[in-house]
Parts: sequence; C-alpha cells; structure tokens
Amino acid sequence: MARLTIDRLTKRFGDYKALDAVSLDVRDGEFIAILGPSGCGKTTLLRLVAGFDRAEEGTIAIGDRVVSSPEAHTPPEDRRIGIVFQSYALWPHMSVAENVGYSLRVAGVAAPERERRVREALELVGLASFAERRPAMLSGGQRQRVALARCLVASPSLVLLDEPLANLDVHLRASMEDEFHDFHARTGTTMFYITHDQAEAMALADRIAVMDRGQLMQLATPSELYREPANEMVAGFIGNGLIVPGEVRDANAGRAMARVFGVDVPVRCRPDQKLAAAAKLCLRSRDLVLAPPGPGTIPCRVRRSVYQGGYSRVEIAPEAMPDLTLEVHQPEGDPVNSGDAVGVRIAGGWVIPDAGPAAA
Amino acid sequence: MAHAHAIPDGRTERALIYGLALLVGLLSILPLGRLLLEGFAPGGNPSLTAATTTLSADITWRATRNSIETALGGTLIAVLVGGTVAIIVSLTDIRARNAFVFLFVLPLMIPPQITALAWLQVVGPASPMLKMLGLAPPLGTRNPLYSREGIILLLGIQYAPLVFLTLRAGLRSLPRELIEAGLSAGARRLTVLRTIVLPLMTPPLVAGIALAFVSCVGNFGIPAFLGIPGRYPVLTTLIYQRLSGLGPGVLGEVAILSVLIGAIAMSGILLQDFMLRRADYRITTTSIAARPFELRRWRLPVEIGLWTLSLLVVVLPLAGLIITSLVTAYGVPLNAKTATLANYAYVLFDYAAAKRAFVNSFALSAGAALIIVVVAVPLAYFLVWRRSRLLRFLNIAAELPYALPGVVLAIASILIFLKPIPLLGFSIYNTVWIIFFAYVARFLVLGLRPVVSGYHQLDRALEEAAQVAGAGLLRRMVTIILPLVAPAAAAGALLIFLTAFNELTVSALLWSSGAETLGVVVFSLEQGGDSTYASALAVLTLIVTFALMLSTLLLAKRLPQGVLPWRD
Ligand SMILES: Nc1ncnc2c1ncn2[C@@H]1O[C@H](COP(=O)(O)OP(=O)(O)OP(=O)(O)O)[C@@H](O)[C@H]1O
Ligand SMILES: [Mg+2]
Repeated sequence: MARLTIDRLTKRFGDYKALDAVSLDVRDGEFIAILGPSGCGKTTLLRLVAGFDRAEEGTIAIGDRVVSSPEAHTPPEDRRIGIVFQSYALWPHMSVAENVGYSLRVAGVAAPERERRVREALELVGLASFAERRPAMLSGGQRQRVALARCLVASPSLVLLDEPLANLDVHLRASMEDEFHDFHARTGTTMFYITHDQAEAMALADRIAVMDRGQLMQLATPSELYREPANEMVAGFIGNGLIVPGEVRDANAGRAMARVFGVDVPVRCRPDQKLAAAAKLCLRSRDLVLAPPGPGTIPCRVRRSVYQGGYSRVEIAPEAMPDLTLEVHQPEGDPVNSGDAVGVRIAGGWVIPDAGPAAA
Repeated sequence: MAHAHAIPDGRTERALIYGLALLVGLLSILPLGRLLLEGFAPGGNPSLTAATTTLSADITWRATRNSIETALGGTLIAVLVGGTVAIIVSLTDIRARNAFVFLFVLPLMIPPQITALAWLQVVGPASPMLKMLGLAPPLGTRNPLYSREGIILLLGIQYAPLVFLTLRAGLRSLPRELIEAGLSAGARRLTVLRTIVLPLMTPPLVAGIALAFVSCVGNFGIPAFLGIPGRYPVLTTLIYQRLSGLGPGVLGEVAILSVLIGAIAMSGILLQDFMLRRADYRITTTSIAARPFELRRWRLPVEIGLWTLSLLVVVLPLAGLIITSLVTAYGVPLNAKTATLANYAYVLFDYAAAKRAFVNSFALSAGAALIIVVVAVPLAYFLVWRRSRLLRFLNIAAELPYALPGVVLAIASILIFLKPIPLLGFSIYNTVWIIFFAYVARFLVLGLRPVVSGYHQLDRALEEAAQVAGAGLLRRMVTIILPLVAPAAAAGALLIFLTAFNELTVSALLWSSGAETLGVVVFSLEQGGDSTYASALAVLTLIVTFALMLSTLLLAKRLPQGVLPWRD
C-alpha cells in the first residue's frame, strides 16, 4: 500500500499532447477513479504509472520512491504494482492457479508458501475450486476475478485497473462493482481505477479525477463533483449539468443571488466567490420547474417533450437565448406540447468558479 | 524521496537487439555486400574491367534475354491460371474448396527440379507412361519440353499457386459490403467482378505478378532440367555451368552475372513492395467473407474444369514420375514383367551418394529450421512490439536473401568462405557447413513471417501482465511468449524444413563430394541419364514432403491463419 504522487506529467505523441501537466495525489489506501470522455488520456496515464511508457516531463512516485522522471525510469517489473487489464490478459497456456502464482514464482517464493498464497487469493475472489481450470473454460466474470486474484497475490502497493468492467454485461457489472468495493474495503489497497462510466466511478471511488483532453479538470469526492463542479467541462460532463449565463450580484459565505435571464435566483457558490457580471451557473434539471408564464419566471418555448415513463423530459429554450437547451422533468398528467410558451422557475444552482481547469 | 535505483533501462533488451542485428547482418548484409564488392571492386580496387568484359559477352546477353523471356511467359501463364482459379475459388459456391486448394497449391511444395523431371516422364519419345498407353512418338523425336516453350509452360505451372495465394488473400479481405453495394445498385455479377472486384484487386494482383516474375527469373531447377539439354541458357544455368565447368577461377565473372540477375529480380521486388504497401491487406480473421456467387447450372461444369486442371498439372506428372520409377529401364513400358522396386532399393541401400544425401538434407533442413526458430522468436518480438529504424532495416535485411534468387546468395557464400575464416583459421568451403550457412540465411524469413503473424494475433497485455508480475525480458520470453507463439513457430519450422529438404538452387552451386543434398543427387542422376533412379529418389522425397504437409493439417486449428500456404 502506498500513495501515488504524480507531478506535472506530460506525454506527447508526435506534437499531440496526450497528457498535459497532470498532477495528482492519491492517498494511501484510497480508491480513486479516473473519469473522462474517450480519448482524454486515461489509458495513457495508466500506462505511464505502470511504466510501460515513458513521459517527457514530470515525475511519478509510488510510496516515497520516484519511479519515473525524465532522468530515471523504473521498469514495470520492478514497480511492485498490480494491473487488471480490460482484456484480462490471462495466460491461456497456464491453469488458473499457475496464472495467479506466476509473480510469486518469478519472485522465487518457495512452493508450499506459494500454494498457500495462491489458495488465499483464489478464496478471496471465491474461485478456490477452479484452481486447475484453464482460463478458456471460465465465464467472463470468473476471468475478471482470476485477473484480480492474480494482481493481488503479490500484495502490490498499488493496483491499476483499466476499464475492468467494460467487457461485461450489465448484470455482471453490478455484481463485480460490489466485489471491487468489498475487496477494497477488506484489503485497503490503493486502487487507481479507470472508467468512462460515471455511475461506476460514483459508486466505487473515494475521489474521482475528471480528465479532458489530457488535462486534469477536477479531483474531488463524487458529491463534491456533482454539487460543486470546478468548471464548465465538469459541470456539463457530470450528471448532464445545464450551463447558463448569469450575473452574480450578491455573494456571501457560500450563498449568492444571481440574475438569470432577468430573474433573481438564490444559488450556492464558493465562500470566496466575487461579484461578477458575466458568470456561468450550473443548474440541474430537478432545480427547474415549469410554471405558467408570468412575473418571476423565465419566458421559454417548448422544443419537444419525450415521455419517459412516469414523467416527461421536456426540452425548452429561453426566449432570450433560443440556442440554449434546458431540460425539465415534467410530472405525468400535466402535458406540454412543442411550440408552447411556458415559464420556468429556478429553485437553485451553483456558480461555476472559473472557466479554466481547477488547481487540484 | 529516494530515487529510482538506476536500472539501465533494458540492458538485456539492448544486448539482445544488437546481437540479433549482428546475426542478421552476418547472414544478409555481409554476403550481399561481399558480392557487390567482388562485382565492382574485385580485391578491393574499384574496377569495372570484369564487369564490362562479362557484360559485353554475347552469351551474357543471350542468357539475359532468355531469362526475361521465359520469366515473362511463365508469369503470364501463372497469372492467367492462378488468377482465374483464385477468383472462382474465392467468389463462387464451388464445393470441396479445401481439398481443391490443397491439391492446387501442391506444385508450390514440389521442388521445380522434380516438377521438371516429372513432366519429362510424361512427354517425350522414351516416356514409360506414353509407352504404356501406346502413345509415344517415334524414337529419335526431340522431347518438346527441351525448349523455351517447355520452360515457360513449367514455370507457369510451378508458380500459378503463388499468384493464386496472393490474390486469394486480397479477395478474402475484400469487405463484402462493397460487393453487396454493387449488386444492390443493380449490377450483374460479371459487372461487379469487372468494375468493383478486379479494380480493388489491382494491388495484390500486381504484387502476385511481381512475385511470380522474381521467382521465374531466379528459378534454376526447371531450366537446368530442360534448358541445359535443350541448349537454351538462362542466367541461372549459365552461372551454374560456368562455375561447375571452370571452378572458382571464374568467380569474378559469375559475381557479375549474379549481380545482374539480382538487379532484374530487384525491380520485381520493388514493384511488389510498392503495391503491397499501397494495399493494406493483412488478413483479418473477423471480416466476414462475401456471400459466394451462386453458379447454379454452371457449378458442375466449373467444378469439373477445376478438377481436370489440377489433375492435369499435379496428378498427371506425378503419375509419370511414379511409372518411370517402377520400370526396369528408361524407355520400357510399365507392365507385369517390367514392374520393379529395384530402383527404390538402389537409391535407398546401394547408392552411397543418395544415402549420404538423405542424411545431409535431413540434418541441414532440421538444423536450419531449429536455428531459425530460435532466432525468429526474439527477432519477431522486437519487430512487432518495438519500433525503431534499426529494426525496420533488419526486417528488410532478413527478407533479401530469400527475395533475391538463390544463385545470388550461393555465389556470395562462396566468395565469403572460399578462403579460411579470418581469426578462426579454418575453412568451411567444400563442406556441408557452407550449405548450412546459406540455408539459414536464405530461409530465415520463412520462419520469421509466421512468427511475426503469430505476434500480431497476441494481445500485448499478456506480456505486460507478466512484466508487472516482475518477470524480466528473458523470463517472459521463455515462460509466456514462447508457449504462445509456439504453434506459429512450429509452422515456420516446418515450412523451412520442407523448402530446404527439397532445395536445389543453392546446393547445386555449393555441394561437394560427401556434402550432397537430395536435390543435387536427383539432378546428377538425371544428367547422367539415370531417369529411373532419379524418379525413384524424387518419389521418396515427395512422400516425405506430403506426409509432413498432411500432418500439419492435424494442428491446423492452433495456427494463425495464412501461415501455411497449402491450408485454406
Ligand atoms: N501510441 C500512440 N501513438 C499516438 N497517439 C496515441 C497513442 N496512444 C494514444 N494516443 C492518443 O492519445 C490520446 C489519448 O489516448 P488514451 O488511450 O489515453 O485515451 P483514453 O482516455 O484511454 O480513451 P478510451 O476511453 O477510448 O480508452 C488519444 O487521442 C489517442 O489517439
Ligand atoms: Mg483507454
């Protein structure tokens, strides 16, 4: 178990910056998820941490040992980490027990000790009775667990997982999610978990690092990400936040009054939020309520209404800004039609602190 | 913070790469460099005297013209036959496809000299087969195969499978949507073939043409059996006759001739390389083959045509060969009185050179296969999973000795080993070891290619998983990679064994008494007029070859697709 410190890590492919000065500090025993859209550099980051690739700039330290820096590079075989690959990468010519025991054999652990530890690892993932099988004869979920047992058997200081559930069906995902969670709770291993599935990240991680285009956008707990996104990208990416322009008129100790499309709205903000004429607000659908047009409401027009079972998802556009689309959930029994003029009341929101990436 | 202990990143790795580079250099760059040196700077002094003398000789130009003529003719036949068959086999619903492909590509695994020998048993006034059927022309008639046309015909038959395989690979990777889009646009099947399939197949077709041309130019077995008696010299036979008639004294001259034939072949290689680069037609196992065109009432006639063709070009000559091997004397028809196994007994038990040749060919082929696989597994590892300029260069270097005609490498080997090896002080010239060197150099790429495609089908994460488990390069190589690429390596080894076991071109120039190969003994028996013995020995080598080919079908499922030419 160890902390992982990544400092201003930069990786280029040609002149494309796949990682741009990413800094990240993972605490000992923490479960951290790396979340971001496809191509944002998650796998690149993981491969640098594992040591498969070298970075041009920046350092990586595991525990208090610098394993990557522009001057020195510890090869993967000497990093004492575990990885679960998306494809599992189980060796087809070895039995389950041989797969799991491989790193111990490499380390020269004597046979009785090795067998004991392999058994323990397999018991941990509930596959003790499968030790002699070949990987080809296991189901997807079982393979996943063998891969997990294999990476844990040597008690690595750090476990890296690259979208480990991406190849599984929905039901298996949910149960494997629980297993990862239990496993982390039991062993307290530092986990570095890559995913592009928000729900997965929220369910599992102590903290989530959101990445976009090679940069770290925000590193925070799941609820903080949802409630207090640091910038527009995070606000829009996490939970489909709606972003609207507004004027911060009065801010004090985390509460502010903002003027949005001519209506005053009470919102949350940072304690140090300054007054601003052109700020951005993050709204959630549940903060918006449809009302008859009138004073205190924002005049809007209904674009379309999609029945979702129990409620309708209504897309509306403010008259003052017809290009912007807001989404409102409208309870059943109160239908609106496209083209209708409606009013919208805003119950709350969050003032996005700045436009650039947050300092982590 | 403590600093990473300064493990020099991949010291083993670097040592291994440089070791492999040195080896490939020795096997490829050194011989070819030595040959060029001899051609243009004999003894180290730049001089074009030898070159101009040789190049201005009449015979040089006759042989060059003959080489090009026969190569073009052979290529034309190979393309017509191989191309048509590839299209029919790939795009239509003929039955028993696998069996047919196996039979059709068989000539590729039959060495050219045996092809020639076999055809000589089918036609000609003394053919025991024709005598048996009562069809033999009167004695004294010249065998029509001893001619330019004979050489062209047999070259075409020999290399039609080569064009077939190149084109078939291309047709297989043709996305079926392209054909279906054409059909749904209302085009007839023949129109789709003409306007969509064939244009898309230009790159593999041109590549196949170039490959066939290069193979024809470099072929020795067929012109040796047909052209030498027919007084129709080509470059390969000219080199052979000069060297075997006059000895190492003419090395300077044959070096020039080798450079000449190498240059002709190189033009074909460059064309092929260029075309293959344009069309990325790696065989993707996931792509679904196009739904075959239904031939309906034409199916049976087409099938009959195909099978007749392959019976004509494969079974007929083999039958001729077998019949000759069973008669008491050449020119005698086969019947109850003349049938005998004495020819087999003679080459197996009495004829010392044949017995030696069996041992030599077997040991040379097995040894070369083994060494090459040991080199190919780490070499392919770096070629596929690491990229650098040095490695790209090594890849090309490894291809050259096989891509260029065999005589080029043979002459180069003589030049290197004529004198004792520097520092070591002993000579391998006139021993079996010079043949061994040439085999390893020439067939390296035959082992390398299947292993490379084996790596391409491996998930790199399998190796990385071992790496994070703490395993160093050598251990990963032995415990993870070797078991996973073993089937591909076995296929490569087998391909090398079969090719070397039947080889003539290189050993015809490098053999010495006591260091004969099977190819050489068949050749000299036939040259001495002992067709019955030659046929018996040829039949025996073919039996070994076919048995090994069939045995591979058993492990076929574990092999990457496209590494064994005879497996569809
Ligand atoms: N070896 C490489 N050479 C060139 N570009 C690369 C290489 N590897 C990755 N890239 C580029 O770097 C960027 C980040 O890739 P990366 O694989 O890290 O994305 P990712 O966040 O893991 O995406 P996904 O969710 O799709 O797996 C991509 O634009 C990719 O095209
Ligand atoms: Mg990825």
